[in-house]
Amino acid sequence: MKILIPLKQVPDSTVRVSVAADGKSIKTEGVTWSISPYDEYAIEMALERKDADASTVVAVVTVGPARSRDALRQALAMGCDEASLVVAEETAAPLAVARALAKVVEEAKPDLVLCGKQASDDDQGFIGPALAEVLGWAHVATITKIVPADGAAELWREVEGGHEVWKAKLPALATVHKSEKEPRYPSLPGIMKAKKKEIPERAFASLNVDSSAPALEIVAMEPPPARGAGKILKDGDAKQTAQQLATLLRDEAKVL
Amino acid sequence: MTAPTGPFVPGGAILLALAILGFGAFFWRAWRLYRYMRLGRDEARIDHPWRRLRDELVVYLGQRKLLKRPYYVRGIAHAFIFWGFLIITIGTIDLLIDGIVGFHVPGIGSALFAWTIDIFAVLVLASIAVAAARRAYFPPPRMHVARDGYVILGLIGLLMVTLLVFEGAGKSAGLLEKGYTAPPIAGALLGSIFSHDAAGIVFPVAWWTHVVTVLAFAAYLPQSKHLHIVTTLPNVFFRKQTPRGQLSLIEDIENQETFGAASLRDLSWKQLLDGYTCTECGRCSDNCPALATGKPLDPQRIVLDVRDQLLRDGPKLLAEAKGEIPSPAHFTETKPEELWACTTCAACVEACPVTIEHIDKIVDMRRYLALMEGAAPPEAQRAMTNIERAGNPWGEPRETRGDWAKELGVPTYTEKPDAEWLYFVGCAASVDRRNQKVARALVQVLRAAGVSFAILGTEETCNGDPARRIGNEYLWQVQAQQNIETFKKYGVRKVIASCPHCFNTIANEYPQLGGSYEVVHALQLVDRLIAEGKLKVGRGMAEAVAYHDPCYLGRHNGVYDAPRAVLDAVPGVQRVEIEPYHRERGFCCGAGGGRMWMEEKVGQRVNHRRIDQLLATNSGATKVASGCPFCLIMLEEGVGAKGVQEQIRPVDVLELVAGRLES
Repeated sequence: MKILIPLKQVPDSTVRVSVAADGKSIKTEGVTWSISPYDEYAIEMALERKDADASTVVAVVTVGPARSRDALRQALAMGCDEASLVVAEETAAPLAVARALAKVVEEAKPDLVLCGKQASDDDQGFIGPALAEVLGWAHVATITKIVPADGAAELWREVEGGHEVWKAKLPALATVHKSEKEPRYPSLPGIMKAKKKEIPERAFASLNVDSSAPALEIVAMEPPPARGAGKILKDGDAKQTAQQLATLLRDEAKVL
Repeated sequence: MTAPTGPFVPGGAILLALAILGFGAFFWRAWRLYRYMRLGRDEARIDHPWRRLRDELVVYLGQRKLLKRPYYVRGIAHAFIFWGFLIITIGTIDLLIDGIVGFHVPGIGSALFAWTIDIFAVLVLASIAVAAARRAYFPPPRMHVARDGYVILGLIGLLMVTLLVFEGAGKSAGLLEKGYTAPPIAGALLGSIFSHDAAGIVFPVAWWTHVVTVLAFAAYLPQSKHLHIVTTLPNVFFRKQTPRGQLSLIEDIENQETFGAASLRDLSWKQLLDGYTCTECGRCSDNCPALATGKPLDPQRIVLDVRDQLLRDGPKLLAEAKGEIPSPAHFTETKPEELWACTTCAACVEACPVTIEHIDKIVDMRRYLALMEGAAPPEAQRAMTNIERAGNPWGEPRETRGDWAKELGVPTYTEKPDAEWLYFVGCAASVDRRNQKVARALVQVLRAAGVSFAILGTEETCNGDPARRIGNEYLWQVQAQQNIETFKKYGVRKVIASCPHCFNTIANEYPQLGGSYEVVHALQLVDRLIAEGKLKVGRGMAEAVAYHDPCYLGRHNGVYDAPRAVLDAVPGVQRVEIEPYHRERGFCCGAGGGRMWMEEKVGQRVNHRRIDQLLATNSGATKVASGCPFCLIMLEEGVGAKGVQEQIRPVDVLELVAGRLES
């Protein structure tokens, strides 16, 4: 089985992002970049398939600026077999990105495409379903497990109180909510091998995709307001404290 | 004289044949063991030759590591048996040489030697009785009471009895050579028991029994844990002479193909020699905080499992070593969960009388798991990812690292390039709220003493210690190099660390990567400042404060006294000890070796045990002071979980000092 994972490089979750001078973007200098967390789950899920069946080929691709190469290296270090980069402006319209990915998918001919359910920077959750639509493939959202089943795959989804099991004929596309295990830490030989691996690169323009797509325009960005100080309820016994808390939650926080 | 004196009497020939048999068996087996040991990888251990010789005198001959609390009685018994063995061996050598060649060791007939040998024979017998009784009636909790121990005690006992008997009988029968001092004790005790005629029969029987026992002993020795009497000699000589807190460097790490130890062949010959040297005394296990709290780790088993596998698979491996592809000899017994339970607190290393190095083996095995398999526990992986991405294991934003210092106006090196000292704050004091208070306290103290210092702010990154101890040597090297580069950029020469882990790795391990600095732990500096009169500490509330020894300050670096001196210098503070778990027996808080970031689900939590020990002293202490941010976090969690936070408050010694500064 061949699995392809389109991934996105995003500011690492440990980074405290701040708004750039233009008021419409984030400051990128000094930012640590990493693979978007749901994409990491998708990689881990694919690698778990590879662990179970060594003939599995796991490929990653990204459409993004040149720095995204580091994210691809990280994926290779984790154990992915192939990686390729489509160099694009950061402002490429999401639908155009999906079309570019569709070209890559058509060339690579994977049996399964796994996308993280959403990228952690803009949280749009657009690329997965859009790519399936462009390809005309079946799409199952937010899966947690794959079980191969003879030319098809069982795709598990977590739902309230249990699981749904979907069966999709391959090729198919699924977006990933979580893998069974936490994304693996790369081995050192894996890191070293990844450093030496060739990552083919091509320009977004060379794919000749139709770029007529509704573009998103960010009008303004501002940090969330600073959080106020907390309140500690000290006086009174447990019952009184609970009453106070309920009152505050209802009247002040307005969450009850 | 009935005893043979030379090769030309029949007795001499028999003696020669027996000696060849006995020693032949010894050397044949010893040679096998040596070849198994050489299956291990090479490692140079000949630096500091004088210190090695000194260790032989102190540790081997002087029995220094045996004579430690709480092992004084058994330690002294062992020392008598050992010294007796050495003295009596001189007599035995003389006996054999005289018997076979007809020549005496000079000085053997002197009164001094006669007295010494007899006194020791009696002391050894008494000690054997103590040792046998202890095995039979009061076995220490983690000692392996095996037949081997009794065999050895029996053989030694038999040697002493036959020695005294043949000496006594020899005197009584007038069979002793001229010019020999009569055996004073054996003569007095046993000389009169035998009539002249009986003695004439008893003497040869006892003499030959003695000699046969000596040779049987030699043949038996290399099959037994008692081989340590021989192997301790090289094991002490080749012990690590680098600082205890320094792990081995993987050189040229980017171009290696395999890392760490997964197989007997991956351990060094010295690590295999450790196995031959283990006496199975169980002192390491006795002192292990992981084992004490019900974890699957037993440091003794780590050593013995390797030894047993080497003895079992050695012949096969030797045969294969000649072939093209040697088989890997993967460890069959040691399980990852044992390895991950280790806090690297060095209680085992400290306790071992024969200088076995447990931590280095455990970390080598961890290195295989972490670097080759990417198989550290998930929480540890998270910590390592956080170090990679955010420069601290907590995963707090890199940009906030210097925030604690902003309101204090602590200068960074960019702002104060001529600062004398770098205060290397460390991750805990940078991002953990509780420990930020300690960093602020240190700033107050340094300012009060007029010390010129600066910090690196956001340019500082994790020193790498947790990664290295988890087994991720690569990440440690990346982190260390990054800090060394930054130190170089600002021309840093002198470093203060308030965290013993930062202190240890910068002082003892950065030199491996070319970064050598004068490094002090904050409490060492404060001790110095108080002694020099540069820091005045005023009177505060009278209170009893217990001192908890951080492992990386105490056992790893021998800093026991400075923090105590600081506590003693604070007026009003009455220092109390957490008896008997203090100084070199201090009990780990549970956070070392990367354990700070791993779940602890099995058994009692180590820090809760520590609080139990603290409360059990009934010392009336209202505070427990330490000098380590991890200890502080663990102690805080411990008193919280035990619900005694009103009774005893964890603090850093620096906070006590800062609270009493005279302006």
